[in-house]
Amino acid sequence: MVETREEVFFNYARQCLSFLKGNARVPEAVYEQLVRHREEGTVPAWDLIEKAFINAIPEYWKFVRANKLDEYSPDSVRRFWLEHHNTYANKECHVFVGLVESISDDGNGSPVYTVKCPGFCRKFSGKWFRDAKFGDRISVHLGFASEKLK
Amino acid sequence: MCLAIPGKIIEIKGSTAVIDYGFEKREANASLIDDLKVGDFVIVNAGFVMDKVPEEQALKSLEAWKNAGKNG
Repeated sequence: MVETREEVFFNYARQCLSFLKGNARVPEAVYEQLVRHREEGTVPAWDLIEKAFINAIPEYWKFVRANKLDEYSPDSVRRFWLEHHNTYANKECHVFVGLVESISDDGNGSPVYTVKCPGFCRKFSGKWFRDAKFGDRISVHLGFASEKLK
Repeated sequence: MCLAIPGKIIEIKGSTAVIDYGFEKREANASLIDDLKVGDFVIVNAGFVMDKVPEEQALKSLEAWKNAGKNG
């Protein structure tokens, strides 16, 4: 399956939808459409992403231009989350990379990963990324596992 | 940018915590944080308890939310 930039963006952004809800600049209907995508496991179109993530998107353009990256490439989006996002986001919203140390479950049928990151170790939900295995290098954001990294 | 309303745990049933926000009660999955107790103040994101918050900080934050409602 070919990976898309929308897919990679949403792997990291679906866990911060609740922060869009109170934002007067994000229409309620946009928020609700994204919640539906999250619940149904589908990927939103880029124009919906642009309407919703009004803090991240201008930073994405900035990052892409500064580094002369292809704005349509999923890898540019991944690099944005891993290299740029933490430079402007609040500390509690930072993205981290770590190794899966153990796997348990959350009592609701989704995995819980204990992830060893540089300087700390904590649990992250695998509700939206269920395929991590022991020893995998994964990215995590706001309590949730985002994806496996190479 | 990233503001969450703290709530107080009033019940724990297995991996689920019932959280009182003052204006409503909601359930959240409690499997990501160890040693949660009834009476702890917590932050929830997307249905999961993310973190414990010291009571003093939680009460301050709740007060700020109340005032935001009045002014808004």
